[in-house]
Amino acid sequence: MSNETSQSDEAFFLEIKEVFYLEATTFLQRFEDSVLALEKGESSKLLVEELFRAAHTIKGSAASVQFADLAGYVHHLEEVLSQLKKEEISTSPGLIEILLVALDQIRAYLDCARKNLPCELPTEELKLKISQLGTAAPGKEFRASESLHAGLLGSKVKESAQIEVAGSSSGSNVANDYISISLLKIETILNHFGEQVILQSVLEHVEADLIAQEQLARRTIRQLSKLTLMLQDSVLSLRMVPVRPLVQKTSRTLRDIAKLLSKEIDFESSGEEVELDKTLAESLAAPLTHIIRNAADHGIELPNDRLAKGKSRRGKIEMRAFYNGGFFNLEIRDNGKGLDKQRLLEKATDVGIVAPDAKLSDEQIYDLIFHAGFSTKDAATEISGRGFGMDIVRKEIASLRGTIQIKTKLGEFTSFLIQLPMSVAIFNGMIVNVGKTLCIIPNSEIGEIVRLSDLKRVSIQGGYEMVEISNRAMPMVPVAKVTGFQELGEISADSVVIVIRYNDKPYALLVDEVVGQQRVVMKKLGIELQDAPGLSGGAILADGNVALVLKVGEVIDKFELRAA
Amino acid sequence: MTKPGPRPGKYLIFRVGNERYAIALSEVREVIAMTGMTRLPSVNESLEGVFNLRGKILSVADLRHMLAQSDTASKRPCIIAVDINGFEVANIVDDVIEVCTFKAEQLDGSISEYSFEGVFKDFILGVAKTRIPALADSGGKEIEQLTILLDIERLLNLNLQAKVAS
Repeated sequence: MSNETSQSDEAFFLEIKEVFYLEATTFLQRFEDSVLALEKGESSKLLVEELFRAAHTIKGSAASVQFADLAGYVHHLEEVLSQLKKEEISTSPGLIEILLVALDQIRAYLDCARKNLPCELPTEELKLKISQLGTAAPGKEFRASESLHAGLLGSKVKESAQIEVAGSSSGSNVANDYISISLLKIETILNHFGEQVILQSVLEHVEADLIAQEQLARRTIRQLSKLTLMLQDSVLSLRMVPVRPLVQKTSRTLRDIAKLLSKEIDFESSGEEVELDKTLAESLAAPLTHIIRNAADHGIELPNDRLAKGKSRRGKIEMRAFYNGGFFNLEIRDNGKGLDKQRLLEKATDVGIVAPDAKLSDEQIYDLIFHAGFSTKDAATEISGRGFGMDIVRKEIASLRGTIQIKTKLGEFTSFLIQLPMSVAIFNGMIVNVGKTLCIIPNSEIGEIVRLSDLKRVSIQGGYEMVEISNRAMPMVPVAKVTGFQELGEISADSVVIVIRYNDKPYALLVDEVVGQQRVVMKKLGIELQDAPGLSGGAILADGNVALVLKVGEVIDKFELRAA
Repeated sequence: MTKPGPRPGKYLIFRVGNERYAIALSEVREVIAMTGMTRLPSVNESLEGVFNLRGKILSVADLRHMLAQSDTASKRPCIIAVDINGFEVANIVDDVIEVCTFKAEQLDGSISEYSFEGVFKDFILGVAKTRIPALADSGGKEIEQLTILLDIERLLNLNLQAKVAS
């Protein structure tokens, strides 16, 4: 009996802890926003008030979940903030650094604590820095902030390591993940559901005499199916989160990088309330950091260089989120030096990516920066420029079924436009028959569908064929053969090819027939199929059967490997 | 390497080929009639396909293939869906027979003391002995029946190479 009680106590404590983590995350974010605003010189009184409140709340709840060391650490911050509140000290770059570094330390601590790893807080270091703050002569303070820079660098490295960890575990850890949902969304679902219950009871009532009440039954079924669609939409919207946290994180990353690079960069953003599937938003964090680092390092010039070019001293990076054509769009634009076509081309020829006499379009030249092992920076800095990064960015965006485009003008700007489907969980798909198995190809991937009998074909070696579509010859990828379905379909009059663009080249995917189109709710396959090449998941069709969702990129990769 | 021996408790008994096999009932999610399924590309010989179990897509493994039993045309093949710490797979067997409670004295784990050619014993925990009361047509003699106790998690891991954290 007593054992049982202690067990439920334990569970209760864990639950409180979980709530604490969530709450702390929110307050830390507010804390960070306020510090950054304070640094920009916004009206300080309210901000200091906000900072103090956030620190106080974290301290209080940390103590209640028995994180005494955290409570102690935050206590010192609270002290400083209280001095600031009483105007005993004033805002200084040194203070801002102390607050931001402490913030990173607390975040790292919470991350460790959440994974049940041993964690420590450098309380003594914080105390020391705070004491230096009060008495520091200008020269001394400079040194203090120097050492803080080192600390900042260290924490940055840690942060990027965490990004990778988070990236590798994303999606697999659904059970421990949380999402905050606006009450409005829940309200909508409850309303839809309430309506559904009523319609259900109408159906039950009608069931007694279906024939006499045929009209009512038909009408109710129609209403019910409409409602189910609405319910599906509103339930799916639960997975959608605003991009605000991403924007906030970017703002912070940019600030730290600008400091390290001694550049002056303003950050502007719009569309923070635009929503995106939670898993997509999370997977976007790492590529976004890469892009921001690149923009700050390669794009924006040093203040004096900018002045020399007749530009404003401070550079600007803008981030804009918006919907367009059923896609989520994110544009990152810097008003820096832009991409130098000539230099890109020279470098690419040097490294041997491009043949010396090759003729490339502007777009193709700009796309070179996505090439693995390609960097125009002569020396690698710790921020970027080791020549990998942008290729990873493109791969990651592609794995989210998205695209990334560059626009640039030499001396004026560079802009990256990321386009993603709004949701991973639901999309429109083409149902095709491949070797007697129904497969689905996402509509977003499909360029064209052509009947094979309408095409000119030529045989090349090894039984492979090329076909000509819209005046362009492309390889025909026999999907059934490549993916290895046991029963191969035969090339018949019904066979069709589906044109897909992959790595900027068109491919003609050969399938046995097109069955139809459907709104697809993507389901995961078991772990035993996680490594199955060419499959990204499954979907349940209207008749209850399962269709396999094809990962077109992998099918083509496998094809090229075979053909090679 | 010492394996835990067979544990007393409730087991689900099924038939593959001519042998009786048992898996711990705690690992069984449900037993369903054979159903149509979507075939997979040749990922793994032991995987027959995938099907929809009330909105969840489950892979179907063929225990007849895994246990290397000759493909006997069964009259009533069944599917046993197992759930091993969240790793769910459906398994085709020739017939599901019954649920049995095995006491400690019925269990014999000595098979783990021997080494066989091949991997066979890796997923066999032992055997269980059941006495069947004398029947007229068996000549009035009591029969002892042997049931092979399977470590289904190990069997599936070996065959599907799934990275399941145990």
